[in-house]
Amino acid sequence: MPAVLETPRVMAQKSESVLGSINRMSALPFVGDDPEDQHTVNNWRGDWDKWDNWDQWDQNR
Amino acid sequence: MITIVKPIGNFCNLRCLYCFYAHLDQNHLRRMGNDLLKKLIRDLSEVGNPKVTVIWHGGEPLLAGLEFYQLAVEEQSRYPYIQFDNRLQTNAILLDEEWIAFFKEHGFGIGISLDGTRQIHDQHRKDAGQNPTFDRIMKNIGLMREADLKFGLIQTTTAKSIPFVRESQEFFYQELGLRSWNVNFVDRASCPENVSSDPSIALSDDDLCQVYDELIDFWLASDDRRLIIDELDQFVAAALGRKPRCCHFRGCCGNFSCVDYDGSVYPCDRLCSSPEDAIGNLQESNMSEIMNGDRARKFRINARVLHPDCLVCKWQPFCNNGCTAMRDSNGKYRHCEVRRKIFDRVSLIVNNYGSKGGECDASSVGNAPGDGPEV
Repeated sequence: MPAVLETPRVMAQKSESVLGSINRMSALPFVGDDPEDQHTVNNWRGDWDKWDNWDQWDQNR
Repeated sequence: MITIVKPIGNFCNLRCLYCFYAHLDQNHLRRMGNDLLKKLIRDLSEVGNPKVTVIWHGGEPLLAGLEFYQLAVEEQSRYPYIQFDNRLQTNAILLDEEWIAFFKEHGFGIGISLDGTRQIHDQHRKDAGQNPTFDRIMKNIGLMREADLKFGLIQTTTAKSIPFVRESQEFFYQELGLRSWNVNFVDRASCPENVSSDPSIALSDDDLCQVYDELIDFWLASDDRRLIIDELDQFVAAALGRKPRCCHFRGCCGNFSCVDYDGSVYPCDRLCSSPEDAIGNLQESNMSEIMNGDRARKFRINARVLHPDCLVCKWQPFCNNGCTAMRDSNGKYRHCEVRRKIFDRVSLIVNNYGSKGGECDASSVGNAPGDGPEV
């Protein structure tokens, strides 16, 4: 079994890195809310333009 | 729609230690013809998406020559109702002021392949004469910065990288001043031919965990909300109940296409080494016909088959059995165990943060599937 650490080696409570990641995620849909989930086999185009928010994501960077 | 285009196929001016194309023909440069390029752009404009992302890839895509890309953007301009988003992944060896001015003028997003500090990069990435490449790449990165052309970066990690993971992240952050990059991993599944010839470069599951630990430690310790290590962000998204962005988490395999120099279309660039994996050819059909065809559809259906272990895993909606190209003979994602550990660890970090009342968007926190059954 991989020997990954069970607890963070650096305490995370005040990490701005975590805060930034959490806030960026608000641009992404929740799993289950994404129409692409139902369309990926029959509709290979997906629904990228509506949901992926690439532009917004890039701006957040 | 996202299409990866390989205008010179797998041909490259480097001989990277881990390249999964190195065993293929590297003696003949064959470039996509102008007529085929024009047809590709026309086909992409007709698939029905108002935005088309083209990722120019290789091999080394700059070997196609500047004229090739000048023609590409000229053809794209014939379809003003389509928003073409051009991105290009390069080893940066051939970059010069002329290329940089072109990319800047036409808004190309540039990704550079750099494996960390000189010590590890030059072990991995030598040119065809077995000469080191770090200094040449750094010089050309300097040209890009002088021209204010922003770029992304992909670091490839092998077992040889392990002692250098932390210092490489520091190098990207401190010396290059980057605030986002991605990390790829080399294992037996991702480049079987080369790993067979040098097994010491393959990351084991234990190695992978060690690399993730180093990345997570660096991510936390940097204490910078602008910092994005793409691979880690996928786990953060999952911990918050959000849909990760990367294909090897999303389960959207088959929604992309990869077009080789001869017009062969594949479902992914990881699956374009064998002609039998092709789902069609643009010289015989158009892109919509190929993507709606039986071979593409069968691929999409097979790619979505989960392993029985997935059915009792709380992380399944965020993992979807990983990368299709990296499943074992039983159809299980090879890094399932590692990935579950990292999901759990990042979830602990993220939810710990939320419980401490950090100043984040409250709607983003607390949606992790942490209450599901332990598997």
